[in-house]
Amino acid sequence: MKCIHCGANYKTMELECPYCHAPNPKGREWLKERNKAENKYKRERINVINKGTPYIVSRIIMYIAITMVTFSVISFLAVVAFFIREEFKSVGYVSRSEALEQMEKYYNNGEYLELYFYMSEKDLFDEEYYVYSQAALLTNKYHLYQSKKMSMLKELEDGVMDDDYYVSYTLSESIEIYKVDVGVYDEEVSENQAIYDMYREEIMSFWVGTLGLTEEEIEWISDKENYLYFTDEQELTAKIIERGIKQ
Amino acid sequence: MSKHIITIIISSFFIAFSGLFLIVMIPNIIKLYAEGDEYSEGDDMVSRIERCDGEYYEKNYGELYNWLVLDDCKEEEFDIYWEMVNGYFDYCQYRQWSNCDEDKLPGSIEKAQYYREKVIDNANNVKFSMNQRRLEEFAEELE
Repeated sequence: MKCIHCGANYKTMELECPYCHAPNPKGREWLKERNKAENKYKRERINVINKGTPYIVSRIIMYIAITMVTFSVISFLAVVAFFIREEFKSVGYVSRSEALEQMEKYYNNGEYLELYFYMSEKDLFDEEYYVYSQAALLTNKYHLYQSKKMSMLKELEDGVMDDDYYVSYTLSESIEIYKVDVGVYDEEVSENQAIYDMYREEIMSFWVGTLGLTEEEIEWISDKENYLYFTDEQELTAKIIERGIKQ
Repeated sequence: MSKHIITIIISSFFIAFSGLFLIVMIPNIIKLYAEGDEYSEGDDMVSRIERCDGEYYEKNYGELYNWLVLDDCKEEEFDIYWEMVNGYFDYCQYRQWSNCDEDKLPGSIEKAQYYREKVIDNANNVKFSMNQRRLEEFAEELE
């Protein structure tokens, strides 16, 4: 713009003429407007910030929540992955032919207890392996029966038989072994006949030589057609204890 | 405004829940992966021996037999326990068969004789001196 006093050219926003120092009303006007605009901007800015804080806070908290939930899900998956890994390790999936080969090996060597543990570990009990399943389960029962029998005899020797637990247990297990009562594998098969004979011989001697059962009692408990209720077994246990167990 | 408050509340809930979950889970996850199976092989052997030892000294041969089988104790360290368990088993079997009547159970005498010989053999061929006395006692009771 031109100075009204000296005619020099200078910028409109100057507050006075840089040459004659005459005051510039337009410059003052401009400064006033500028300050007004600046103050208005500051007020608006504060307003926006005040309104925007909950927005920002909610955004931040939401991102934190998403992050933590993500970490939680990852941790949970890590635990699941661990247990799946352990399951695979312990089960150690084998092919059908490998499993069959191993089971056959144990079975033919007469290692029925090893067969039981192998089949348990690999979860192989199945109708498909009926003969092996039956032999393994029967042998496991037999092993438990022998263990409890020894405990029972030890208690008798020491004169510390406080209850009928061992007598009842060995009686019950021996009946199940004799009858080949192993759940779904209770149909006798010719392949396992030698095992049945071996266990039945031992159990018969247990019934006669240790429990002192009579012929009638043996006939009753060994008959597959007879179902023995718990009370029947309890009654028989009581009779055995009353008569005295042979040592 | 209220929309943001709701978001804040819900997010805080998730933060609290997952925070608690992480505080509980992270140490356990680290422990799980660091320790792997329940115990290392060395600890496993120690635990197995401890279990057998307990039953051996208490003379609970039935339970000892059970642990030897369940823990698959085939190592040399367990031979002492197997010797005792087998010795007691043979002794029990002898008594059982010798109580049987040959008429009712043919073959009882033969079986009794078989186990009798085993009991005597066990007493004469003791590998572990700690089992000596007990195995000899079994043999003495035969007479």
